[in-house]
Amino acid sequence: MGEVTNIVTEKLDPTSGLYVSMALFRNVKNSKVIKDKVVSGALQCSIIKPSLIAHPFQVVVAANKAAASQVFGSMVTKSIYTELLFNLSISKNISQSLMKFGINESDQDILVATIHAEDASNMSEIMVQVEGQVVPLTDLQNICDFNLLRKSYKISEDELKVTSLLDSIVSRIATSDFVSH
Amino acid sequence: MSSELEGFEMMKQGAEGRLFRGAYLGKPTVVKERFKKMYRHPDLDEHLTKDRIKAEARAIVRSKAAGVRTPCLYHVDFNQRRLYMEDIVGSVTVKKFIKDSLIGCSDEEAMVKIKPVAYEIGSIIGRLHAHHIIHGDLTTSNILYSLSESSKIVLTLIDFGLSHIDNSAEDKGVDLYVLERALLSTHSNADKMFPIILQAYKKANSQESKTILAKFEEVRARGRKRTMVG
Amino acid sequence: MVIAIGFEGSANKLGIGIVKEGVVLSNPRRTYITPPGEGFLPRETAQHHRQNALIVLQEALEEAKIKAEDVDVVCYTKGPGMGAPLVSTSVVALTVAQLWNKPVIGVNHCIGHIEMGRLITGADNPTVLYVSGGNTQVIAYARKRYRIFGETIDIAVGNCLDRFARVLKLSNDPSPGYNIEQMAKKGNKLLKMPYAVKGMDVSFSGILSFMEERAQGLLDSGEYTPEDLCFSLQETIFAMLVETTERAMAHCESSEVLIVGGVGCNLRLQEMMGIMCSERNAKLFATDERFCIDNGAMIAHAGSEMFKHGWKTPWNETTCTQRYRTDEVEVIWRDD
Repeated sequence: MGEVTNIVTEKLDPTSGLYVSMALFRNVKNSKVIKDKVVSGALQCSIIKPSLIAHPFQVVVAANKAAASQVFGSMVTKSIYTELLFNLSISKNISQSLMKFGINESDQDILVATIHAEDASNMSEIMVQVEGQVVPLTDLQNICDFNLLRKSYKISEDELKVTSLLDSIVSRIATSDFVSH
Repeated sequence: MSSELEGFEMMKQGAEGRLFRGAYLGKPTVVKERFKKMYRHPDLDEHLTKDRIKAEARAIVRSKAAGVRTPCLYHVDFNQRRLYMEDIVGSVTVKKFIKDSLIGCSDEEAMVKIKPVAYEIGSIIGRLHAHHIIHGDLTTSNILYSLSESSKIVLTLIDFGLSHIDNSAEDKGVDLYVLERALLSTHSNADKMFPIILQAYKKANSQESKTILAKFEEVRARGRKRTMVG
Repeated sequence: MVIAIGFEGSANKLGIGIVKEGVVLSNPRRTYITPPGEGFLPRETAQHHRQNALIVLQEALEEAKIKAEDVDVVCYTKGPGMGAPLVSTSVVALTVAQLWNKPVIGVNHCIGHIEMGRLITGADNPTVLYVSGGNTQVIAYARKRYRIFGETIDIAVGNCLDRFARVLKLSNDPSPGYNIEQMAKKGNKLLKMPYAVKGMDVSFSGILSFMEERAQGLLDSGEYTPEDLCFSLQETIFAMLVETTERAMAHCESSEVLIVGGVGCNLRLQEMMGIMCSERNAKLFATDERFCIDNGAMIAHAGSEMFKHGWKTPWNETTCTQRYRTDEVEVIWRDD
């Protein structure tokens, strides 16, 4: 993945021509403000609960699915950003999914994701609005709630014997629209 | 609307579609692209292809839950008829492993190496069937062999293009029959491998194996003898 | 110069043909046609064959300008097929062989189709799709056997078509399949139905029950016409056949396809197979109704090849058998 000062960017499916960029913040003081701005559309990005993210690749796969849905006109939610959040979830219930993977006003850790054309990232504009400390995305290892993740994605012990948690999660994200758990 | 897979290299072409290898989302990826069959009515082609992609993806995901290693799935694209999945780097097919084991070795020496692999094959199929997953195309070309860091045998099952979920003993018996025939037509020491596979299978699928193996014998004996009716 | 006479009556067609060194001298045939909505049963079919055997035999000899003494070998269909019709036809052949004092050869019906198909079309080593009322097999030749790569796990495709024709009460003249084909040409709305390909094998009983259960309701509702139903059935079952044939071709790395058997007359099936072939740069071979449909000459030709390579059926083995697998016969007459 391309790394520039704690922002990780990955190229999505070439058909979309889009990229996803991510940044992780801790000790965020204005989560409520950020959340309101996202809901109103003033901030164009997804704000994700980091405790449910095992690795940035999980977000990449969900973002990729959202980008592809946008290209083929098959999005289920209103924006590519809500689509990303919805894709992270294996539930088919949109509001439940957004609530689960989006942040609460009291959350102090937030993961920001933007989807953009090459070299047209709006990530820096968004980052300055967050009153918190930027940390490397590798810190996700410390924040992520392993057991909550296992429960949320319904991953059994047997499965973890033959695959990593990330791989199990990603495979579920890729197929959640037609494989139920 | 279908775009060319830029930056991907074609690996294989079969009757169903093509396999490509390349990088996707920053990972080494294999793409399975199914052909649009022009002899089929377009509606039939579309929903058949979609059903098959779903069945394949579903089997790959469910196999993990069954404790069987399969590639990680990255993306499913119904519009372009593609399945994007993990490229298992550093592995060989069990077919190649077995053939290579025989080079410069006696049959007995080779069997020492092959036995644990045969056992593991039986185990994974047993686990698969215990979860009612029918692979549909069990051959040694569809099982990848590698060694873990601690030198443990790691087998990954691939190519679920003909798979389906079914709890019928008959289908599972047929799955085993397909494997036996594939082994017999490919490997000279198949007759030594298959009993070991069955032994492990029984252990991994203890609940149903008796019924399934009885069906397997039936299918074997049948060898497709059927009455012709006018 | 071997002159062979062949007797075929394994289903509802009675055919007696004469072949001389790969040239068909005569090939007359009679078909037992039942009223619409009815299938043919063994007893009446055997009766039909008995009633027509001598007339057809005479026609065959006269048209070929052959006399009994000229015949070198008498060939008959040993199987597979329906019991009574097979036996009633073979009785005529065996009697004639005894009267004329000629050797006898029992021929596998499927192999008769294959060898005639190869002769007429010139196909060298094709993947064969053998489709009729009684058989559905995908066959490839390897090491002296016609090996069955894939087949129906329940009923034959022709049987499925015939029984659906009965549901629609279509005429059985000249054949139910032919009438479904003509109807299908006028249909255009595709009904989604079960598609049953399992690896190299196919299954038709599910589709048949599906159609039998729903046809009346769909027609009554006005949603689909009988033409649409025929169209939908053909598109689906033929796609299944083309798919399994393609799989076998890919497996054997073959670039030729030969369609034989009564259902092989269907032009839509030929068209679909042709499209698949052109996509793979393969060649399609098909025959017309003279040879697609069961006939005596195909038995004569296959028998002739067998005879020339030393085959003889001893008198105590001149029986018939309803089950006779294509791969049971050792193909001694091919060099490859």
